[in-house]
Amino acid sequence: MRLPPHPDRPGTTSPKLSAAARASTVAYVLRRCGYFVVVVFSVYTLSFFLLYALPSDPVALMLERRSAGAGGSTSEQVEALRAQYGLDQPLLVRYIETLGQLLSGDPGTSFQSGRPVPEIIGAVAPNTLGLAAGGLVIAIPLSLALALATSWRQGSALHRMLVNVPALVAAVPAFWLGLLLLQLFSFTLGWAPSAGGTGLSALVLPSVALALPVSASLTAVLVRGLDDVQRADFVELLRARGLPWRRVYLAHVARNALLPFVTLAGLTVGGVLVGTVITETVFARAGLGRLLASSVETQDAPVILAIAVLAAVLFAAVNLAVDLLYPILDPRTRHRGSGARA
Amino acid sequence: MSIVEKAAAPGTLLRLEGLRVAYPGGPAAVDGLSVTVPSGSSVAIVGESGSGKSTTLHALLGLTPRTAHVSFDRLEFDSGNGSGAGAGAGGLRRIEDPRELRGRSVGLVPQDPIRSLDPLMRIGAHFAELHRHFLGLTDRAESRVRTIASLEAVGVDRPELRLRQYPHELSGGQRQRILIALALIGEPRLLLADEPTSNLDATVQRRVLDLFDEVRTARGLSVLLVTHDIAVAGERADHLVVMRAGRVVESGTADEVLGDPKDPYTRQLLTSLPSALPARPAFRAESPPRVVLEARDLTKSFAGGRGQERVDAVREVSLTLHRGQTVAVVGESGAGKSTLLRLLTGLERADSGAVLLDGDEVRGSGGGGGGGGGGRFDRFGRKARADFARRVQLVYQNPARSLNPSLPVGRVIAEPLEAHRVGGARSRAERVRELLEQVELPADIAERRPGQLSGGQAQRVAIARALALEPEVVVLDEPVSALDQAVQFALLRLLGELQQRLGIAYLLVSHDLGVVRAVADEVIVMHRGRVEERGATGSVFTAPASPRTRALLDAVPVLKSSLSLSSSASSVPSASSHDRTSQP
Repeated sequence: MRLPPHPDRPGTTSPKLSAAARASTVAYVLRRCGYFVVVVFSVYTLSFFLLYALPSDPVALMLERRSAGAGGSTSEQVEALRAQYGLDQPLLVRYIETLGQLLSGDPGTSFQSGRPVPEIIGAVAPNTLGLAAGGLVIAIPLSLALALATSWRQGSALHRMLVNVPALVAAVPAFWLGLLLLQLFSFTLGWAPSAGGTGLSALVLPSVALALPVSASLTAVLVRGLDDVQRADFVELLRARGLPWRRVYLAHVARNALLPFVTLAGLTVGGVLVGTVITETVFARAGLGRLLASSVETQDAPVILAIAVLAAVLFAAVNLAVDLLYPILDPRTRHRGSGARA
Repeated sequence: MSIVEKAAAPGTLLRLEGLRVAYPGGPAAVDGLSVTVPSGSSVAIVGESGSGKSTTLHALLGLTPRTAHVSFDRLEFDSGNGSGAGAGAGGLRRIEDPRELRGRSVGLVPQDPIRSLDPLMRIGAHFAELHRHFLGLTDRAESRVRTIASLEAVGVDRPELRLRQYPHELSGGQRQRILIALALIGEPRLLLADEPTSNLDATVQRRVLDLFDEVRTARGLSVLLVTHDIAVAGERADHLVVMRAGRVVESGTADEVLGDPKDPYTRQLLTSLPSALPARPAFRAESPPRVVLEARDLTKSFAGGRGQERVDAVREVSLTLHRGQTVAVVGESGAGKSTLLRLLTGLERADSGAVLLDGDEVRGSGGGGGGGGGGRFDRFGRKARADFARRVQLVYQNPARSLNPSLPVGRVIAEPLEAHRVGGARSRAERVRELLEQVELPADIAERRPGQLSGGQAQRVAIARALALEPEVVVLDEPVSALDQAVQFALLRLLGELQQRLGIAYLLVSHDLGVVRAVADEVIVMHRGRVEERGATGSVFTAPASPRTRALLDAVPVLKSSLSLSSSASSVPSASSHDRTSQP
């Protein structure tokens, strides 16, 4: 009963066409990289004008702190400091100069300590990046496992119970959760140091405190995705063919449900960076979050600007990676190059 | 694959007795259903949505949701090849858990080919997965060879290329063929087909149904077909089982059921075909009423992928629509029907040509004289557009998706009035009541939400909304194809009455030629963006000039019922009637 297949038309996927497809891929990558530049540049611009266009005088604040108790300062000293930090220049000139400095890798010196900004940030950044990484390393597998377990059987008692867990966790304030963990594991059980410290043991509790609220939203999105995909026609058909549910669930349902999860995981990096501010305060860790908080208090503009741009670069880079990953994960978002539609 | 020996023996392949399915808090979805499928034959379960036919099919494979309560008195299946040491007669083996039938004994071909393949997997991977599962085959090269062979067997062109493609790169017909090939990998003895063609074009539908017949005879399989279309069932099945509200109302051989239906419901199914609609008053072609909508040489092309030449979606199409007239546009998908609709309703701007409303050119509808860039309806922008929208309204195919689910029905209907600032709150409410009455819906429905309506009610609401601004032209895009047969019938009758009463002109797009024949005055057959043939409905249907028109007409399933033939002189066009009437 073989039906005669249509005559082959090998010309449809000619090298010319695949070259066009490649060109469109290159265009896509370039456009995404362009978005990256735009995001970072906008964050810089916005932060700069918020910091420098404000009607307060950082030099006065600076002198007040530095010479506390050592008598007043003359207006010559103030002018000299202004000139030293370039604050006597018009705003737009400073905007462009600072941009040039940042691009050449020199974010300037702190108003407060007079030390170079890279040194200040470099001293605490590893702590924060370690904490953020720790948070993600816990949050992503945790939410994956929790969501996969929740959605395994539709309408089961386990599903009905677990589906409420993310909302419950999300409702708990992050600082309170941190304090609770400290009370239990540091003070009562004595398993982990309560404040500061370095090394892995000091990282565990803050990472957990940071990860839990983040994994709540990730889990909720993934559970929703898994439940939706399970209702899809192709899943029912795979079951009807007699494939074991484990196979259908992991190879088809989970894979399809991961697409929105990946997008959200990329956006979560921003949430994690914000979360470090609270977590570092609760756990009394030195880190970018606390540095940012104290720099805002003293209006230490170069430090704030550097942290803001750094966070923007991190966030935009992760989301650029997600954007570039997406067409690999989902063929439907690829550009039509090999159009052999009949 | 040599299981053809079974074809000769007329044994029983499947016997299901006393199936009951109930969902918590509801009446039984299926109540005491019994069905028997003889070896090598095809059985069709016919019923409307909600009749329990799909539930039956799901229960047969243990696919009902966990909340459903399923029980049956007896389920027997002849799994062949002697391995089943069953106690039943003739190799029939008692099945306790229907899940063991999945794949190897029963193959399922789904309703919607578009959504039934994993969108993230290449076609080749779909086959490889089942090869691994059913045959323990892990060798990629071997799987590839087998896949190509099975794709060729179901008539998929260029199988080597298809292996590397993703489902979204294939057409609906191709996907349905691939799904049939996938269902055959486990070498089942019974194919379950769940409305396998209801989402396909008439011509594609015919080819896919032909493929079912070929597969069945070549492999000695049986087919259990579930469909709402009694014409398809009558044409393709040896036995018919007519279901209504979870019960079998009639069953027997196709000839018996169609030739001499015992149950009133079966009779109703046979008489609610569009051909039984009251005859339309003849359209006065010699002294036609004024032209309301006219299109002149509309052309529109789209960029066809990067590096490819542009595709002409619509090419030099002209048409005139008189007051009170119905013009139908037919053709396969991809013929340009939808683009033509979008051009005529101002949703899309033509490359060249013009749309005229009451003889005045609609600004921005075409690129002809004015040239120059700008958006659609550019210079006279909003006003021209609003004026046009008041007089040309659209009714979409799927009422469930074209009504805002969060607004009560009254607001949905009043929305065009609000948008065009017609009347005040009180006069709008009055108008909504009037419109509901016109579409024969109770007034209290205005309080409900679209989600609480049946498909037929929702489409009536959509029609009421289209009529709110008293348009002169209503564009109907597959207005009844998502509805059950009896509901279709009632709705078509309503549309006919509204047209006579209000003098509206309809522009109808439909793939259902039965509908077109029953309601259209003039037919335009499109093919690849061009007008293939046009003329008065009667002459196009009885004496098609173009071979493509004839192919479209031949694809319509023939109903062998004496009842429907006697009930109306002009039945669904049949192949024999063309042979008789069409001249070379």
